[in-house]
This record gives sequence, C-alpha cells and structure tokens, in this order.
Amino acid sequence: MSSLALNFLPAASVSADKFNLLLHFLIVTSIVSFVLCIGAGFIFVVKYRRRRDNEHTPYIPHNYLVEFLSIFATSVVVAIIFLWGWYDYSDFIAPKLGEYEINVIGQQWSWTVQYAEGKTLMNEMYVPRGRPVRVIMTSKDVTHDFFIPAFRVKQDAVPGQYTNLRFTANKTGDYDIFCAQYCGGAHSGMIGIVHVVEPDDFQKWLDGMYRAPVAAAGAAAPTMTLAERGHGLYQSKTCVTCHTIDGSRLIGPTFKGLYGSKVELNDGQTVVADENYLRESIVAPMAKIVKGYPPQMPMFTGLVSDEDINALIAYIKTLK
Amino acid sequence: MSHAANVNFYKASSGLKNWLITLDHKRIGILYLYTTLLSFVIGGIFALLVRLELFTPGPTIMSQQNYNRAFTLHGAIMVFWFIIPAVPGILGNFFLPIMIGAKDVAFPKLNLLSYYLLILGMAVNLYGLMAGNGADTGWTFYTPYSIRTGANVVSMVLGVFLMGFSSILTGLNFIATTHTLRCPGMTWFRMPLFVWAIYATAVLQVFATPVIGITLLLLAAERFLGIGFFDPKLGGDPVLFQHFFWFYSHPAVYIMILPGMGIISEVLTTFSQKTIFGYKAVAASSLGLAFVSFLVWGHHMFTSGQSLVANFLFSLFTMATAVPSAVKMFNWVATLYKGSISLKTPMLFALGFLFTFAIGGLTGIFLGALSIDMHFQATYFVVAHFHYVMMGGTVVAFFAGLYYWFPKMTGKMYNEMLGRVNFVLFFIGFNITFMAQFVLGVNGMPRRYYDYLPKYTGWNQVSTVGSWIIALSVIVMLFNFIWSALHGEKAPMNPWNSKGLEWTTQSPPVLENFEHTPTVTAGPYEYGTPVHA
Repeated sequence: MSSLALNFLPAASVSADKFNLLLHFLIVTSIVSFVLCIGAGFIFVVKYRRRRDNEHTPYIPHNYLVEFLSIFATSVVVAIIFLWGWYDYSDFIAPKLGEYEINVIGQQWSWTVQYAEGKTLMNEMYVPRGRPVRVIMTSKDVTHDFFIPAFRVKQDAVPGQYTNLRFTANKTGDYDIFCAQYCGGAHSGMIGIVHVVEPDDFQKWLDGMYRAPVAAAGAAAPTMTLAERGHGLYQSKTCVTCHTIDGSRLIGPTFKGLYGSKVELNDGQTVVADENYLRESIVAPMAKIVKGYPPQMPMFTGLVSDEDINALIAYIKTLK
Repeated sequence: MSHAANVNFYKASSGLKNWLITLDHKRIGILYLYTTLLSFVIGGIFALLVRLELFTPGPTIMSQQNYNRAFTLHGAIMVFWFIIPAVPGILGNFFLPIMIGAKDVAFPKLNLLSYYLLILGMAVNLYGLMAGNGADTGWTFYTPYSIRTGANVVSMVLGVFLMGFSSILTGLNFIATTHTLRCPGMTWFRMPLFVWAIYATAVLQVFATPVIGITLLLLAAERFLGIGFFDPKLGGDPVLFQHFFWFYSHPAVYIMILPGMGIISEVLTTFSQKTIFGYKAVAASSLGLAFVSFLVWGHHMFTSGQSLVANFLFSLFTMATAVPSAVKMFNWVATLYKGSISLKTPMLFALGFLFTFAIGGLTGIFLGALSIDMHFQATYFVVAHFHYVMMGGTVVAFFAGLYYWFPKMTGKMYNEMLGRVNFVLFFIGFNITFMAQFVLGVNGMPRRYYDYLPKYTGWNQVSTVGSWIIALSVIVMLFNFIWSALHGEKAPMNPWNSKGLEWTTQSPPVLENFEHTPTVTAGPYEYGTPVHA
C-alpha cells in the first residue's frame, strides 16, 4: 500500500494542473540555484583546502559587480515567482460563470455537506466534472480547514463567518478530503471523500438515481445483511472517528459490548443501552451524556434515515 | 576587583550562591547554557516520541490525546525555551562584551534579572501547559480551540510574555552595551558580524515582544471580563488572534535565525583565513531582514480568509526577504574563494549550515508563492521547511558556535574525532528526517495528524528512522562536551589562529575579560593582509 514514490498524489482539477506547472518551475529553479551556490562552495572547499598552516590568502573585501549581479538575478527570479503565484491564485479564487454552489459546515470532527437540491452528506461530497464549484463554508465550533490535496486547494472554515473555496474538477474518481487546521481531539480523523462524477451522473445522483461504481456506504448491495450495512455506515457516517469497536477509549465510549449494557450517565442515573437509547443517542445525543465523556457528539437528525439507524443498531448488537 | 582581575572567571569566586547571583556576563551565559541545553534535550525527547508514534498509522505507542499533548510540548519548549533564548543568552552574553572589548554588559544586574525572568516565564508557561488535562493546542495556541479545550491559555501566553520580557531586557542591554562600551578603536564598522547580528536581534526583541503582551491583555479581558475579541460566541474574530500571534512570532523567527547567521560569519572567516566578502552587505542584510520581518506575518494566514489585498502584499514582502537572505548566502560562499580552508568541526557545521539553510530558504520561496501555498499550507511541507530553517539553520549554527567557542568558554579543547562523528551523524539524520517530510507534504499529508492514510506510511517510517540518527548525534555531542570539559587538552589562547578580539585574551577569559583594555586598530577579519593595508 505504501511506497517510497516521490509523487503519488493525483492531479484532478484545473488548479492542480496550474499548481504542478509552477511547482515544477520552482523545483527546477531551486535545484539550479542550489547547485550554482552550494556547488561553488563545495568546489572552493575541495580546491582551497588547507595544505599547510599559515598559507597566504588574498584580501577580497567586496566586488560590487558580482554583488550587484547576484542581487539583480535573485530579485528578477523571485519577482517572476511572486507574479506567477499571484496570477494563478487570483484565478483559483475568482468567481466563475455557472458556478455550482455547495455548503459545507465543519465541526469537531466531521464535515457536513449540503446541496441546494436537498441532499445532505457527511464526510462525502459529489461534484460534477468540468463545472466550476464554489464551496461556501463555515464552522460550528473551532476553526477547521477544508483541504482536497488532489485539487491543490484548501480554505479555513471559520466559526461565525463564511469563507469560499473554488475549484473545477477535471478527472473523475474519488479523492481525499482532509482537515488541515488543527482542531484538537480527532483532527486526523476528520477526513472524507470527494467523488468527481460525469455531469450526467451528477444529475442522476441529485435525483437519487445514481449508483456509485464502487459500492459506497448507504447504497448497499441487496445481498448485504443489515449488520454488514451497519458496518459500512459506522465508517461512512464517521462514528469510527470517536467510537472504537475493540473496547478502547477514544473521544466517545466504545461500541464493544455496548448493547444491553448498563450505562452510567453524568447526572448519576443508569440506563440500559437498548434500541431506544441507541436511537436517541444518534438523533439527540445531548439528551443523555455518558459519565466521564465530553458532550461532543453532533446531532445526526436528518443525516441518517430510519433504515440507517436500524442497520447501525444491528451492527452494534454484533459487537459483543 | 583588581586582585581578581587576572584570575580566570571560573576561579574568581566559588560556591553555588556565587553562581546563582553572579553579575558576570560570562557566568550568566553559562547559566543560560545549562538551562537551554536541558530544554533542548526535553523538547527533543518529545520530538522522538512524536516521530515514534508516527511510525505506523493508527495508535503506535500513545493515545490520540497524548499525541496532541506531545507535539504541543515539543513545539512550545523548542521555540520558547530553547531557540529564542539559546544563542543570545549563551553566546551573546558570553561573547558580545568580549568581542567589543568591554568588561561586561552595560547593565549587569538587569542581565541577571533577564535570566530569572526566563526561568519564571518557563515555570508559568509550564503550568499553563500542564494545568487541567494538559494543553493540546499546538504551540500556536490558536483561538477559539485553545479557549474551548479548557487549556489554560492565559498562563501559557503569560509565560511566553515573561520569557519575551526577558528577551526585551536582554535586547536593551545588548543595544546599550554596543552603543556605549566599545573599546578604543572599535568603530561600528570594525565590529564583528556576530555583534551586528545580535544587535539586529536585540532591536527585534525590543519592538516585537510587546505585541504578545497586548495579546495577553486581550485574552485576559476576554476570559475574565467577557469582552469578545477572539471568540465568535462573544462577537469576536478568531482570525484576529492569528494576526496578533504571528505579529510577534514571525519577527521571533528572525530573533531565532539572525544570531545563527552571525555565528556563521565568524566561523567561515576563521576557518578559511579569509576576510568576509561584503562586510557591509552582510551587516546591512541583517538589519534589512530585521526590518522586513515585521511586514510578513500574514504569510502564515494565506488560507485563513484574510483579504486579497493582504494576501498580495504579504506574498510580495515575503518574496522580498529572499533578497537579503540570498545576499548572505552568496557572500558566505564567496568568502571561501581562494581561502585556506580547514575542516575542523565548527567549519563542518558552518558548511552544513550553508547546505541546509539554502534548502530552508529556497522552500520558503515555494511557500511565499500564493498559489503554491494553497496546497502546502499546514502540510508536512511547512513542517519540513521550518525545520530546515530553525534546525538546519539556527541549531546547526548554534552547534558550530558551541564547538568554535568551546575552547574559549571552558579552557579545554573538544575531541575533534567525536566532533566530526557528531557532524556526519547529524547531517545524515537531519536530511533523512526532513527530506522525507517534504515528500509527505508534496503529497498532501497535513501536519498535526495522529493517524494517517496507509499510503503515507513509507515516508513516515523513513523520517522516524532519521530522527533516531539525530538523537544519536546529539548524544555524541553532549558526551564530547562533558568529557572534554573535564578531561580535554588545555586550550591555547587562540587555537584557530582567528583575528577576533575574543581570541586575544586567555582561555577561559579573566574576570574582566582582558588584563588591559584593548585598543583596536583594524577590522575583525583582516586575514591575508597586513594591518592598515
């Protein structure tokens, strides 16, 4: 799975292609300047190494021509890089004609993705290939950063304000979404997938008619058991970020042995973790807080269907 | 005092009390040496733990919470307890007065106060880092996370401010010393470049540090009076905190690197027996960097949502810093031309500095380009870049300086063989550790990740193995210093045949530095030419 390749990141947007062009220019320019400067130093060290003590050395306090030329050359090169970077950046962030707008809300530690047509996803995003997209984002709690490496763009999601991220995806496929602004706890678990699909498929998806080629969670194959579907939802709905299935503690309580157990709450009461408790904990998590855990869980009302909840409960029942 | 004037400063008085309340700038330098080297070791242990955790994806040796605390402690300790105070505190205190022919700094009591303010600041900062469940905010303490996590952000910032206040006082002391206590004949342009660098650093310390004090006041007002500055729930702006933080912490980057640059000028000239190429250009570029460092803080925030105009200007000014930095690189390399180059350990570290600092500087240009930063911001590319500048720059220069002045500070020679082993191990380990992180960054791995996708495993393992080689090299160095200080050969007055003023007094120096106040008749790097040529 892992390798020592130098570049294993796909480029799947217009900005990624522009980024790569400037990056290659920077790498070549840097290597040339490095070799010229450090290479000269290396040659001097070898050529003028001390052969005996008290060697005579020439007195060369300065050379205005050399100094002027080196300052001039450096200034020209960095000016080119500055202008190029600014030019591309202005293009990345400029509003485009016919933009498709998607709302994103960051919260510890998941992304909620909302579509004007009514769909709401968690840690998952569908975008049409070839059409400019504007992501309008904010945060419910602390500052996050919505980062899609394959598109070479990122933007902070700041509580109390809206920020924009723009891209035009140009290759279909699934790409990573990361949180790139440290937000505590499960920061590294705040990751997701962006699916770039053909515009026709995107429309089908909006209409609820699209089946992803790889069985994405939620779109279960008919042969799956309810618990198997629940396992997929455990990952796709980000339960996995905070709840383990092996008994260890993360942000929230583990799912192992949860069903049927007695749960002690922070107000001193004890409840049995039955179907009603599990359901309530998903749709209204602030109603009962387990003793010793922070009131951290987001509300999943509207994000999971009744069928999903049944599948999740079925899955939790298998974790003995 | 005259009876003690000709005794070396270690023997002038004895007993712990005479060390703890000493007013001798050399002894205060030694106090800083112990304090900051201990901080370096502690911060380094946290770095090793962080790297070990990242050896595999998912949990390796610690929980998510403990990982977040470990990298917070690593960053805070390395930046505030080690890099900022180390070079001015140790080498600046010990050598600035000697290099300008003074008996001490201008305000010796203030100098001792600065040291204890540092200790107090460390204690308050440590309390903030440890209180409650322990801080897990990262060394940047960004709001609103730092407010919500229950971390004691007020004491953390108070600690940083007290440490900063210590460096303000040190800075004032160095400025006053440089203006008033130069010996006869020590004109401004006969001052060694190390003195120029420390002077530029002092100016930065005095001007930049108060901003962290203002930030502290605002944080306290928000916390205790409920006035919203940074917390959006109170109507504040969380990005404002980032502006305040970096308005101090970016100039602080130059507080960290400028003294190291000064060391490099001293070591390169001595071990190539050449005068510095472009003395005035190097001195002016120190001041130029100090000035422009106040105008670039926003490059830490290109993706924060700040305005386009701000991004344009901050990117432009950031690119401008490349010019004075490049001037220094060219002048250092040109100094080697036709020299008589001796590859003793300090010189190996100085040459290693040219290599690693060049990489740190060049990758800084990548990050200054706006479109490139859209991808690299907050990835391992940034982590690798600033380690190339801070560790490959400042720490390598600091090691060069410690080896260079070791004979003067201790009166003993270090072991050359161990010194070279130290350099080779460090150089290899450092480049393995952080080159791997450039690759991770290019491929999009974000920083401060406890867990990562399996595709990033290979380069993370390379980086972790590199960190073990660095650790080994530091163990060799500490052994070399301790063993040599106890059992090393006695050092002559001027083992490197240097033209610097500090090499004209005994090793170690007498209590008042010189038996008779020296009179200077030439510049500091008059190699290869008769004086008054």
